[in-house]
Amino acid sequence: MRYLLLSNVMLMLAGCSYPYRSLRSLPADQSCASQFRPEFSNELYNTHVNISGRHLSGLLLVKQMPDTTYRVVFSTETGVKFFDFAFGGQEDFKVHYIMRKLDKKVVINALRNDFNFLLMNNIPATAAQVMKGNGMLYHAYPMREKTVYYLTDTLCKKFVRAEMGSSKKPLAEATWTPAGKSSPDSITIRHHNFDFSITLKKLER
Amino acid sequence: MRKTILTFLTLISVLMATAQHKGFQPVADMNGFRNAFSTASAAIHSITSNFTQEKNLSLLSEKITSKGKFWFKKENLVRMEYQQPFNYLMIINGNNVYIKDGQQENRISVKSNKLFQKINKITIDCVKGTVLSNTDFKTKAFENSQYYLIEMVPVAKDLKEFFSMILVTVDRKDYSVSKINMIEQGGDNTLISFQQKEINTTIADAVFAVK
Repeated sequence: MRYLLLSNVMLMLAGCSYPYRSLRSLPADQSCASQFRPEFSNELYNTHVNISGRHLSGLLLVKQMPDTTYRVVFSTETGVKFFDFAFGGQEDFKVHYIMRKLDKKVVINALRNDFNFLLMNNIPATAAQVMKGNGMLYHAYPMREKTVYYLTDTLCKKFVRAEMGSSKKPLAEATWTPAGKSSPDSITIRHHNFDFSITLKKLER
Repeated sequence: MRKTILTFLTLISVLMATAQHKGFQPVADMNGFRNAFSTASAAIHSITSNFTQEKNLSLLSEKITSKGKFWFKKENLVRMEYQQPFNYLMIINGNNVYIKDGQQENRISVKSNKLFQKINKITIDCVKGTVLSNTDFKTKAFENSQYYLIEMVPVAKDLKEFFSMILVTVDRKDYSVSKINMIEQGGDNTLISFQQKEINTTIADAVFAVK
């Protein structure tokens, strides 16, 4: 009996540490999460970034180009540009500009992953699998060396949040409203493995 | 023959300079302009104005426009308050900078940050009329019937990363700054235009308080 209790506790702890391990795969519509893909045309966001106890603010422009690629440009309110990235197309990702102080592989990769994850860029048209757990559906897509999960209710009618994770645990999560068929009014991206969060509020121009 | 070559070279250099800044000719009497600019600016103790900022992203054919209010008081007090389409406040008070971005307040001392000092100096020099003697830049001046145009090309490496050139348009009638155009290496630029300028009105020091 004592061993049974112990093994149950161990299993529960394992489930907490590695939440994706407890998910159960099930047959479901593997394309339904794509309805929550944000649709940007030419939006400007008031942006706040918190990183390792430091705070910075600025303006983020997300613009879809005629060739359907996205340009993401972040600058200070006074006009000094931090970075200018392109997503999609043949090159998939291109750094048009990044300020010398930020020009580090780890920074570029973190930003690349965050925007890929938000734009639902560089992922297949259908989920590799749909899993159920915690009263939600997890639509899993491979993205570079990571997996992104778009979480919905069990009927896939309501978007809950997106998570980017390793095979074991979530590394970052993102929420946006409204989800799908329009550009979001607000977006939040928060990392779990280091102190880094981005909040965006759409500006009326 | 030598005279012809000299005339030809002068003509070429005038044409090149004219082509560089459409509608402007190089200032013929640079010393005269320098003295007049410095004397007129010495008489400016304060400026209050509205401003419009246009950030042009050339490759994206995109313009981000913001508007706000600007205050300057001698010697080195500046307040820029962006009011549309976002709220952002920046106060320069000597070596101290205060920033309020809608979510947080930040106080920075620029004493230890040379780049920040140089960027602050540009703003202050532009409105103080000491821009021609800023050694961080190579400067040239041009003119037309309404304005002077001061071309500033950065010499310092850290400034070159941000600007390929800064163009300051000065109103001929009172030597006050009408536009500051900051051009980046890639061709994007930020143009700040000042409207409804009021010179030498009383501005309380509290406007520049870095609380």
